[in-house]
This record gives sequence, structure tokens and C-alpha cells, in this order.
Amino acid sequence: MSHNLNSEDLVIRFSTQVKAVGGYFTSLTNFAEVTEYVGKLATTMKARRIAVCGAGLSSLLLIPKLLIPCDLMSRANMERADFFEALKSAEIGVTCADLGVAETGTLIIATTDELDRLVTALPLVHVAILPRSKLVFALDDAQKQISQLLMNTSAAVSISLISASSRTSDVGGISILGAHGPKELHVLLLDQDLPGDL
Amino acid sequence: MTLDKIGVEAHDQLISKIINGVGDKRRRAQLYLGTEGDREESEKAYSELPNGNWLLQEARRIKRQSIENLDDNVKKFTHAAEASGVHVHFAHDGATAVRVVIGLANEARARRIVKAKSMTSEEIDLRQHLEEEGLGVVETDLGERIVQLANQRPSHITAPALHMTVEEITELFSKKLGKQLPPDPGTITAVARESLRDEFLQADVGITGANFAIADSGAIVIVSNEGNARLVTALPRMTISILGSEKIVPNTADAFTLLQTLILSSAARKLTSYVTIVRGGSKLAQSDQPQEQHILIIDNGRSRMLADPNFREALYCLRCGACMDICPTFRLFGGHVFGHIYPGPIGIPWTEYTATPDAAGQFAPLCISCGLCQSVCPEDINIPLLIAQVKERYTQRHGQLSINRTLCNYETFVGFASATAPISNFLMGRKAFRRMLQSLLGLDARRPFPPFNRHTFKKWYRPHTSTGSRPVAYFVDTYADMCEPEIGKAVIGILEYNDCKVTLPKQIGSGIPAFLYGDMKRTTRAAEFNVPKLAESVRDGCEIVSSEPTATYCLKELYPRLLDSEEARLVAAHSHDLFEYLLQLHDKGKLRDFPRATMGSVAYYSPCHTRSVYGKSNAIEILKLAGIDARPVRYNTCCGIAGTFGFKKGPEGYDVSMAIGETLFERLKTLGLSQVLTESSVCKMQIEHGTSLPVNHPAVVLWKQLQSPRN
Repeated sequence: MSHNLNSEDLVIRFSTQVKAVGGYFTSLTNFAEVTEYVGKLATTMKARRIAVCGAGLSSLLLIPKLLIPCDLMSRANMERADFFEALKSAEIGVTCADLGVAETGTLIIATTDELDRLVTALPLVHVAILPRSKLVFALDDAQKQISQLLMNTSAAVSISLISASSRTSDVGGISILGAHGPKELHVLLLDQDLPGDL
Repeated sequence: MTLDKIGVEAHDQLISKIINGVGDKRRRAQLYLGTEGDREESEKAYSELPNGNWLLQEARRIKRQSIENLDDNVKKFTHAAEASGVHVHFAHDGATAVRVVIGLANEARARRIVKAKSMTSEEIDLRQHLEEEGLGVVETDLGERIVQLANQRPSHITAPALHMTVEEITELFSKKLGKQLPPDPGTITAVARESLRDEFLQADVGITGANFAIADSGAIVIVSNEGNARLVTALPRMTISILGSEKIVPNTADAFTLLQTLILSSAARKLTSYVTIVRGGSKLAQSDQPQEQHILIIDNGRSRMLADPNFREALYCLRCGACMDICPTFRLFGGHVFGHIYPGPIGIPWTEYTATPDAAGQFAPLCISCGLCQSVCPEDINIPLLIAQVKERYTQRHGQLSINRTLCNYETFVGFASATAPISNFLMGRKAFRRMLQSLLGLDARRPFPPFNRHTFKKWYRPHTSTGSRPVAYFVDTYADMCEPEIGKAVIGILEYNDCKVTLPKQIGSGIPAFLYGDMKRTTRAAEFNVPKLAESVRDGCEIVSSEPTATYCLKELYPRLLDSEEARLVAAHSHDLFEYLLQLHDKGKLRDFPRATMGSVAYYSPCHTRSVYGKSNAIEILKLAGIDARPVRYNTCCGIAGTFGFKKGPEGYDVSMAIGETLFERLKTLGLSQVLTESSVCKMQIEHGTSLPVNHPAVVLWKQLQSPRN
């Protein structure tokens, strides 16, 4: 297995895998473009609520209403119960990803609070922001980091490997997206690390 | 021993299910569609990976070691999980497991329980027991939800509702919701999402299974595409994950290897949409409190399986379902006929230990020993051998059908018919005689018998002297000896053309007909006769060549397992099918050129035992080298005759075998070619009978080409 891919090849491998199973992939240079992307998505979907979680992402809240024409709710500055209530009806969930795996097109997100995990699981659309520096080639590289995470502490943790949107073929063998989780997975590869990140 | 009362009742029940199954064309079409193509995609997915073979080798090593250290893994896992605040329980049997879950649910004052897919929970009838206690359980995997609404069990290990048509599923949901829905998978899925979302949000307890558990960190791994397992583990106050003790592996690296193998073999993908690794109770969304996480490890027969050297390998199963998607009878009947709780081929040994041996023995006759299940098993479990042992034990308890006892003697019968030819052939051609055989013995009158020949190959060979420089011993088996000696002669001709000095060691038939009916002693006796004679040839420098795929299967796969001796392994290592041997000569640059082909295009069918031993066809390569345009028919299962199985009357064999072969016959006829080639003698009989096309052994065709006057 070749691990000596340069950064661009890595991105190509990753994006090919994401798109091969129906995921959306966009490479962005700065945070302003993330805002623009989410804004456009919300407009197209006519979304009313966006739930945002993850350090740094709360800066999305500083965006003028014009850019994201719906309710933006952040884990960072809301009461737990209020955020959970709002999350139940949010159409879009925006999160960071801790790692990306190029060979499988997988996002890895570790959480210790179910509220954070649910932002990736309940809304119909999941937007995940992956800083370019967090992209590795092989699943085995990710496995080593996951193993370390599990072995270094005995604290509770949930690790989600997300390689595609939710789907089922249980009705007549025909693949349908959005079975219980997001119908769409949008991966935004970001050239910079997130402000106040991880 | 003839069948006792229990045996007779079980047999009658099975036959009535077979009659219904064969007659239900709509269900058959649905099952066939649901299992079609999966194997090809999976093979392709493995071959496209740079480390596909390594993955399989590792997966085998990991499972073997994990099972070897099962008790130790349970201890380590328990220790690590408890250190993370997880409550670990252990249940020796199903009843205890059920009591633990009911106790926990009551303790949590559970009003609503949501459940993700778990075969282990099916194994102990968990949902049914909880419901009896007044605890409502909602299945959330869509397939499981469908079978729950239909009040059925899963019919497939990874696709529980595989057997149901869109229309049937639409009816279920329409009835449940009290409004007529359109028969559209998208609508049904959306409706299910909406109605189950509330269940997730309201649930007090979530029950899941686990695909793997990691001993060194106490984490469990759950694979899903729908994302329901994520919600089941994230939302309720309490989660209970049930896992069989065999699911525990030492570390994360091992879990990832098995994870990839499982997903490649079941879904032909690198990863499923979601893989969830959970350890300990994370903070709950609704309350800031940590979730209460329970893990219930169940034994329920596993330690007995572990202690039984003949059955231990069943514990290597990853539950990928590949054996089901390729099994000819499973594809025809689905898991409600071919299954007890665990469906399909691997379901037979699992039922033997996790349910009852009688439950296993009752559907075991549906296995027709084609060997394809082992060929696709990522863990290389010898499923056919496990099943033959289930059959053997069952016949020891409840006796054997008289037709099966008769057919265990098939090779003796062929010997007699050959000695009395042409009278035997004359009689076999008489309808009245065939009707008599049908009513007396249970041999279907519609099934043509092979021609018997008193001028056997062995008689022809006796005065023959071979003078080449490459020593080869020929294992001829029954058919090429007594029915179609031309095959044997062609084999000798081709080998001698390639400078082989062919000998014919003393030998009897392979003994495989008895294996099909679980008469392991008889098959073992054949192995005990043949192996020492063939080993002597090997020690004299010979390679062993066979022209019958089933014989090669015996020499290479079955005998070493039955005898477990150095001698049998020696014979296995030096045994080849004719075409593998020729290909090896070719690779060494030692294969003589075949003269130019004079025949047109032909169809080619690769027999199960060739696929089972080699995973590919060697014959087609040699035919290509000889310039013969042999076009393989795309077909993912057995032709249906399965040795003597297709000779048994009506639903006992013939009807099933013809129903299995139906698609193959159509495809061969659609190819529009005038001849079919296949190495197997029984596949030949089945295809000739099903298509009326002439079928020949590739060796016969090649030998004719060599002898052609133009060359």
C-alpha cells in the first residue's frame, strides 16, 4: 500500500471515495467560504434551522442573517435542553470532523457527549468540516489513532466512522437514502484549521 | 436404521415446506433477486484492494486466535469495560440472558424500548420474551421492523426482509398506519423514518447487538447503514448490548481487520455508511447525566461448541451472510424454510448448539453438499463438513430415509449396473421399470440415468503401457470408469501427449455420495482405502490427477479433514484437477501446443466443486490455449443436481433440483450455442436434461481435437 501520496493525491482519493457513494465534496480555502456554502445550502433547501456544534464553529453565529437566512443554533451558547429541543427539528447539522481517511472516504468523529453525536445523526443533512491537516491516507492510520484514544483513558467515548449518508435496501432491495440518519452528507475540506480548533 | 417417529414427522414437515416453496413462484423470484450478484461484487471488491488477500489471511488468523483464547478475551474485555463504568453481565444460557434484560428494563422503569438489529437477541427470543412481560419493543432496522410487523423472523442474516416483495411490505405499513400507501420503496422508507423517529426520542432503553467487542479497551463495534444503531445507542437513558462471547477480539487493529472483511464479504463495500464504536456511557442529550451502559455477554452453547473439535470452527463466523447468497437451496427457499433461527448453511451448525440438535437436523437435508458456501466464506469455515456431521448425528438419533440409505450405496449400484450393461441400460430406458424404481426405491422416473458401460475404463487401461517422463497417477472415480470411459481415455491421451507416464493406482470411488446424506463412516472408509494407495504413488514421484471435480474436492479438501493425517495432507498437496496440472505445465513452458481448433464457440459451465476448490476454472484457461472459444455462463450457484440429490423423487430431490437449475437452463439456452462443456459428470446429466443440449467433458473435446485427421 502506498502511503507516500502527496497532499493533492490524498484529496483526490478522498473526494473520489466520498462522491462514489453519493456524498458531496467541496474543497474550500477559508472559513468565509464555509459560511457561504452553508448559506447557499440552507437557501436551496429552504431550511429553517441549522444546528451547529464543535469548537470554533460557533463563529458561524457572527454571520449576518442575510447569508444564512434561518435560525442558527450553536451548542456553545445555548442551554442544553433548548439546544436538544431545537435539534429535533433542525434540517441541517454542521460539525467538525476529527479525521478523514482518504482510501475509504471516511470521516471520523469522536464525541463524549451524545448531544454532539446527535448533530451528525438527527438532521436530514449533515455538513462536516474537515481541516486538510486532518486527512490521513489509510484506515489503518486512523485505526492507530482510535486505538490510542481508547487506550489512553478509560473515559466514555463514542467514535463515529461516517463513510456515506444513511441508507437502506430493505424494501425490495432498492437503495433509498435517508433511512434514519442524514439523507445527504456534505464534506467541506478546509485549507485552514478551525479557529479555536480541537 | 429407518426413520423413527420424530424423524418421519420432521421429514413430512420439511417436504410440505418444500412443496410450498417450489410452488411459490413469486417468492422464489424475490429471493433469487435478493441474493443475485452479491458474490461477484464481493469478489471484485476484494480483488480491487491492494491488500485483499492479506485481509482474508489476517481475518482467519485473528478469529482462530480469538476463539483459542475465548475465556481470556472475555475476562479482559469485562475488566476494561468495567473500568469505563460499563456494567458487564454474563449469561450462561438464553433463559438467564432474558432474565437479565427483563430485570434491567424493569429497573429502568422502561415504558418504551427501541432495538437495533441483533441475531444474538433473535437466538434467545428476546423480543418475544420482553413482550410477554408487557415490555413493548420496537425494532428500528427497517428490515427487522418489517418482519416484526409481519410477525415473522428474519429470513436472512443481513437482510431480514429479503423474502418480501415491495407490495407485501406496502400492505404491512398501510395496515399499521391505517392508510393506503403507494407501493414505492422511497415512500415506505420515509414513512418508517417518520414513525420511528418518535420512538427513538421517547425510548427509555435501547437494545443493540455488537459486531465485535474489543478486549483491551472494552469498546464495542456496531455496523449499520441506516444509522438506527446510532440513535439506539445515543438517545435512551440506558443501553443494553448483547453479544456472543465469540465476538470479542484482542485489540482495535484486529477489530478493524475483521470489520473490513465482514463488510467486503457482506456488502462488497470498503465500509458501511456508519461504524459506531462505543465505550462507556457518554453524557445524555436530555439530562447532562451519563448514560447507563450494560453489556450482556452470552454463552448459550458457545463453550460447548468451543470444546467440540469438530464444531469449533463454526465460531469463526463473522455473520456476513455470504454463504446464504450463494447457497442453491437457500436461494430457492430463503431462511424461513432453510433455517431455524439462524438461517442458511452456517445456520445449521449454529442451530445444533444454540437451539437444539433436532432443530438443526430437521432442515440440514436442504444442504446438498455443493461446497460453494466454503468457497465464499471469508473465514474459510468448512461448512459442508459441519453440516454433514449434523446430518450424521441426526441419523444416529432418528434414523435415515430409506432412499438416502440406498443412495449412500450409489457407487456399488453403478458397479452392478455397469457389469450388467447393456441390460441395465435397456431396463433404465423402460418407463415401466423406472416407475417401479420410483415406487420401490424413490428414484424419480423423470430423471435419466447415465449410460452404464461394461467395457470400463479400468479394463481398457489394464493392458495399456505409458512411457512418458513425467509420472502421473490418475484418480478416475466412478463415472469416467463405468459410465463414460471415453473421458478416462481422453485424459490418458492428453497426459501422454504431454509426455506423462500415467499409472492407475488401486482405487475405489470417492465415497462422496454417502457424505451428502451424512454417512461419514462410509466416506471415511473410501478415504482410508484411497489415501494410502495414492500416497504411495506420490512417494514414487507421481502427481495425482483427476478429471472429476468432486474427486478433486475429496482429495484436496475432504479427505485431509476426515483422516487428519500426514498421508492425507501429502495426497492433497499433490492432487490436481487435470486442467490445473496442465496449466502448471504451461507455466513451466512444458505444455505442448494444441493443434488449431476446428470447432465453433461453445458454452462453458464451471462446476461447484471446481469453484469450491480453486475459486476459478482452470479448464477455461486450457480451452483458451487450445484456441477453443468457450464462453462461461454467468451463474452464481449450483446447477441443482448435487450428486444423487436430483435423482430422488419429486419434492425429495428432483423438483428442487430442477427449480434450482431453471435460471441456468434459461441462460444456457439464451447463449444459443450448440454445445456445453463442463467437467462434472452430474452437472452434465442435469444440463442435458434441463436444456436438451449436448454436454461434454472438456478433456473429451480436447482429445478429439488432438486426434483430428487435419492435425
